[in-house]
Amino acid sequence: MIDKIDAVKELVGGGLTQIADGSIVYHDGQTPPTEEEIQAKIVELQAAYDSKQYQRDRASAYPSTADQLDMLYHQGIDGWKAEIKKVKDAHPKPEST
Amino acid sequence: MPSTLQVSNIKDLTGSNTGLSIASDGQVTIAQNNPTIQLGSNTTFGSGVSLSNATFPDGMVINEKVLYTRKDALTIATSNSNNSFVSTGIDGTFVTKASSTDADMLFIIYSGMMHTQGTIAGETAICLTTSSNTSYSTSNDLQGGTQYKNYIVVDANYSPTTMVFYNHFISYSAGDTLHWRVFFKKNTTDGNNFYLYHTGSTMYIIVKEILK
Repeated sequence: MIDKIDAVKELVGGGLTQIADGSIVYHDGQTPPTEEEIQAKIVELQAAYDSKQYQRDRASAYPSTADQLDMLYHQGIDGWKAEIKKVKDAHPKPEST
Repeated sequence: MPSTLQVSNIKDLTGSNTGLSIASDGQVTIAQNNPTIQLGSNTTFGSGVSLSNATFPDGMVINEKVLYTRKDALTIATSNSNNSFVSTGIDGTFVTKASSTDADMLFIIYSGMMHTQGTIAGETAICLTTSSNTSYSTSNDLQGGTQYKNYIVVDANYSPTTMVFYNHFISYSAGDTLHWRVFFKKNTTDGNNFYLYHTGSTMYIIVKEILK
């Protein structure tokens, strides 16, 4: 989930605080971006975040390091690759990325 | 057959002590330090009954009030690298029931989703002042100059978090109107954010006064 502060940070950098009413406090004298610029950046960052969902899904689905070492010992490199491929196939990389 | 007894005082058998007086306007006064009054079932008190002069036992919560709630799509977060407390914009006022001498004061903040990006730390503080003040000062902080104030490190993760703030330092009287404000800061100078409240979650703040 991309927040307003993430978008503003991408646009102007420096120290920022988003307070309870949603407004941004600029700690380093940055020039505030326009609301249109902020909304456009939110859309851009959200798209980039969503395009990497398969990576997050794979990361949580891979067996633990200990289990993978155990696979290598008992099943060899081909057995290990087969187990890893199951996860990759279950969470394919989108064609457009 | 109805009858009416008209007296101004009811005394003990010896006539030495007045137990009950009735004024000309009908107001009844019981002049006794240890009266025993047994109220039966279905006793109903009229409106406007005041217990303001009553003495309550130690440990009794004499004030518990929800000061703040939210459930919206606005994050409260900071990437400020100055390592200093900033106002969250969460503030308000309330009236104390007892003095700081007579009661303990606790604030409870519940955040349904607190978050730190990367391995950074965040701290949260509550200040009490007599008027609104967006500048942080340890002299107004419930925890004073304590080094670690509800210090949290959530390694790039999300977590529901309850924080309790005990008033160690601020003095006040019963009936004072106090202004409270939440401050927070991140403790590292990188570009990561410390989220006190994450979009789409819930949050509430409660104040309690507990008799000592």
